Amino acid sequence: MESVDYQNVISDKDIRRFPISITTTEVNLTGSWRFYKPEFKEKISPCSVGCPANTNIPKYIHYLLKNDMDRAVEVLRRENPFPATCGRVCPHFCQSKCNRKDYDGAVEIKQIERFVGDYALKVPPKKAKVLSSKKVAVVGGGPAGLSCAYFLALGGYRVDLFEKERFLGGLLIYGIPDYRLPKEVATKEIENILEVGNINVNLGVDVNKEKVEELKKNYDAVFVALGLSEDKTPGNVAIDNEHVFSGYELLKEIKVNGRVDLDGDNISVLGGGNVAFDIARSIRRAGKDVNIICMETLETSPAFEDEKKEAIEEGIKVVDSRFLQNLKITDRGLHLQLRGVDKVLDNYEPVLNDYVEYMDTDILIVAIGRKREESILGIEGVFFGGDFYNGAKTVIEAVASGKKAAFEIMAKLEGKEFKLMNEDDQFFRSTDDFDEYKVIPFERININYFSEQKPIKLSRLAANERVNNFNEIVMKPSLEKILREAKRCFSCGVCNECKTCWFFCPDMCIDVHEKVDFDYSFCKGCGVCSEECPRGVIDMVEDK
Amino acid sequence: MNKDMMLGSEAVALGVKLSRPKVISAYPITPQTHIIEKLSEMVDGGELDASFIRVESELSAISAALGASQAGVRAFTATSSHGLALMHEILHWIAGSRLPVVLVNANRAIGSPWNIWTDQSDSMSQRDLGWMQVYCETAQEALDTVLQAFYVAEKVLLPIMVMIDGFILSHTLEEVIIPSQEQADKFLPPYKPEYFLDVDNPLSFGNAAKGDVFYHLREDMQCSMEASFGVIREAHNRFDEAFGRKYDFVEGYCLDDAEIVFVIAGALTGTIRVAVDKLRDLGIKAGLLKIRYFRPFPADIIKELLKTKEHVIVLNRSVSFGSAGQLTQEVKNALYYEPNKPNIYDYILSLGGKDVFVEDIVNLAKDVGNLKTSKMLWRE
Amino acid sequence: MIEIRFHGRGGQGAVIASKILAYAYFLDGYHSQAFPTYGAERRGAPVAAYVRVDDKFINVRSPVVNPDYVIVMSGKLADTVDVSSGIKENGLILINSELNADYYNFEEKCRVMCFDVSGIALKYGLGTKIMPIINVPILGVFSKITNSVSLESLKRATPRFVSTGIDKNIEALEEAYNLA
Repeated sequence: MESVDYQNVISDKDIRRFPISITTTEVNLTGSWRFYKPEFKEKISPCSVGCPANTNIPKYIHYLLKNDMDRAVEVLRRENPFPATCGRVCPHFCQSKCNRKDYDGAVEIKQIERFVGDYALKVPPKKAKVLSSKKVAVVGGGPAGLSCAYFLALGGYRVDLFEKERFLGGLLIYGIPDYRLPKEVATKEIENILEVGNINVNLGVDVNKEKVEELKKNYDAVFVALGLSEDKTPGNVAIDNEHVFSGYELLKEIKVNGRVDLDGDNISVLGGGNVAFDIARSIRRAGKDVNIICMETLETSPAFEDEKKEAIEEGIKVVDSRFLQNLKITDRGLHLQLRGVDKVLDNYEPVLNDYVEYMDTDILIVAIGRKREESILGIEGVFFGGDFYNGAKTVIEAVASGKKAAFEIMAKLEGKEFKLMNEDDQFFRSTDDFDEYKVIPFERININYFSEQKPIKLSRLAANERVNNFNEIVMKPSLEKILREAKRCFSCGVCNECKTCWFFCPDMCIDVHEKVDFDYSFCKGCGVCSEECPRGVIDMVEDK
Repeated sequence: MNKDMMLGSEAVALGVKLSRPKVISAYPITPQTHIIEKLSEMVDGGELDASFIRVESELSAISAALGASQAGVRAFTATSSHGLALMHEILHWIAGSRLPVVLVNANRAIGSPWNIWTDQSDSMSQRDLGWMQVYCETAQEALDTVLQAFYVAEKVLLPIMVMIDGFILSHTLEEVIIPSQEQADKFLPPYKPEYFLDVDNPLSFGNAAKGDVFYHLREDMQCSMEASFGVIREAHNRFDEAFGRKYDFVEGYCLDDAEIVFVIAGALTGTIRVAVDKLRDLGIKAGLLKIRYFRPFPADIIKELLKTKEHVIVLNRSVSFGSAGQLTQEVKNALYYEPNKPNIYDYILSLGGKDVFVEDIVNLAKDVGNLKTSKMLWRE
Repeated sequence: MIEIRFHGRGGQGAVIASKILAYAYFLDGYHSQAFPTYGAERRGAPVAAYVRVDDKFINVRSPVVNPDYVIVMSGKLADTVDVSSGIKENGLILINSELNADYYNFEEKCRVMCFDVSGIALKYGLGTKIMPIINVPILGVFSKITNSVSLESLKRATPRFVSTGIDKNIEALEEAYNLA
């Protein structure tokens, strides 16, 4: 304080001195008073934890709001090369973890991702350089294989990708109906993945156990994500493609030809998963009467809630808690004997009760799941992923498993220890182990900065507008709505340059640009910035 | 000569406009006057090139004026009664910062109980801030004083509060000689502060100062107040040259041979003038001393004018409770060392707009023999 | 010095009338002054406004207690407010009323004159039946009967203080002058 010197700035002897000093407050290094100091430490948002691929959701939302779409795309693709696809088909586990969920409704992340993803379709990723002489074989061109190839390619490895079908994409191209995922979207996204370079695609190559053994010899690493290759059927039923069909194969036919012709008007679909509902709804679009027979109750059946709701809206009848005990082929069609189900055990075995019911139908479509080629699983030293390894899961889980495998492979080839966490660049933060980070709970959100606002309402095609076509059901929200929804994001633990800390800092020693910088020469460690930060990004730590 | 009729507050607005301020900040609601209404119209209509900052309270209004002045431009605000009270803290800061802000206050009472009418207790409560204070009698004087105020404040580097009595001056339509902008510009040069907020030339303003520095900064404020007499006199001379109207710290009326002298500040002076005329008609040698400058208080001038008088009746329109009317205190103070000082009567004339009629004053002078100097005098 | 007092109700325009009148005197070459009593400024509350006229600058600022003229904006007001208070001997009270002047019986020695200004105001669409706006035309009557302020100056003064219906007001002013 002594060094503040009031100058005789006015020369007139009568007027004399002014309370203006030519020296500045900078001489007073208030930072020396500090015994606690603020630290900029971004945390993990619960939504990121919820996402199997650990997408940094608050960060890309932040860039979206900054109108920096290229950065938003970059953040999304850093964890997931399929944002436009996931923006449509992903059940968005993230939303169920959203801190806003119990406040005024989870942020509608799905539509935001779809919006950014659709922008990303037009923005191919940058070409990656070849950084290693080592080569990796990836077997299976579905989301898991493509994801693995993508991350390996980004890491500088050359990849040979093997796919049985004529096109890459697996279920994205051959399974999910267009009203959920338009073919053009998946196709463009796959094209973009290949734009990274380093990926050599081999189509029409059927890989069996021997072939995997051979690849293992010729490549530095092999990743296998063959998916599920064979339909499960009830023990007493065989797929004859006359009366009994495979749901998977029919879906494929519809995706390839745009239609399927079935000889009959009354169709039953066996199964309670997404495939069952997808095929039922696709056939419904050909004007047939469709019912779904499933062991679980409608509520507990494993299909997505939207699928179930929309299927019923479209006029599909669900016969739930029923087990197909017997099937008789007559000249009029099929005669089904159904048994009542009390519950379904964890191993998918039904506990039957005494109830018996009969049902006549023209055609039965089986969609109770698929099996993998078990023999390949026995091969040692090979990496596995996707549905092939994990059983029928979601697209994002396949992407995550491919990503994880890619990083495991790179760690192995570089002789490093594989770590789930990568604190430095967040390139891959992944899965379950968040010990080093704190996930921001609702209590760490400074709720004073947020007023209650319900999520946006989505516009959907009405049932009668969609049962005769394969148009997407959820209409694309307007930019205005997307931005309004994006603004609802608390950005838990992730700095969005709101500058609240800068505004409150009594020592003017905070600079916010992408992150928060503190001028520790003047920071007194008062903690106001940490206290006020709406999203828990600033920690106070003891200053030694 | 261009003459027109206007309200006292409109005359102030015109004076402000002629002074070309760059920032006008004001709270527009009660107890505001037409001053701000007129100025906002002038800014809106493009007649006055200034930023008009409408704020949510008088505290903000005066704070914005402080900021604007510190940024180096001419700043003005106006208020009244409770509004002035709300400004109190920042009034200190403006004076301490040596910023030449000009504020016009329409003198009105402060509650409780509710009273919207005129007295001078609002501004008298702010007499010790380091602000200069001028009280005006007519709309013309108000207009002219605003122009002078910017001149004086910017030379002395202390702020000025110009007082017009609420309603009896602010809301009274009367004639005013309208100065031209050329005349005003000739009188009042553009404001060019030497030190102001400037990113290219950083200085720190109002930085913490320990007692040894602070003490002398306050001493300097007093020095400036003392030095301001010269500046004010210069302003009056220049004003006379530019506009042909004479002003002084005080104004005497029938004073030379007066035996009974009324001392007053503000617009009620006019009524006292008429009373003096009547008393003279009755053969009573009455006179009047009008105080314009209350801060700095022209004690030496007043002493010379009053020291030989017999009776001095100080007409206060405010009270320092437990002491005397503020005007009385100052007058007594000025005459303290005079061996044959007059009888000085501490008379509380009008509070909260209580009407004053010529007859009241005439009777007061007639009754001077019965007045006591020992205690505060209140009307029947 | 001429002193004039207006009595009206809030919203009737007595204050504006006082300003127009003072300004008209000013235009006629006199010194003048106008000011209102301020109180609870509500519609309907009784208000008073004052005008002083002189051939030298007017110093006094106290309310007018001994008026030469009193102008009452509505006849009913004269029943409840002491409009004749302090009026000078031979002073004139001008009341906007359909009634005969005999109806009003004031203690003070003064002249009383009634004139139905409301009728004229309504004819020109000034105000409503419940509250006609007579502040401008009543000055026409005042001008004619006192001959102390010119109609021409009143016509010039009106636009300065009246913002709407200026033409109608001036027409009503002229008609009131001619009929008075």
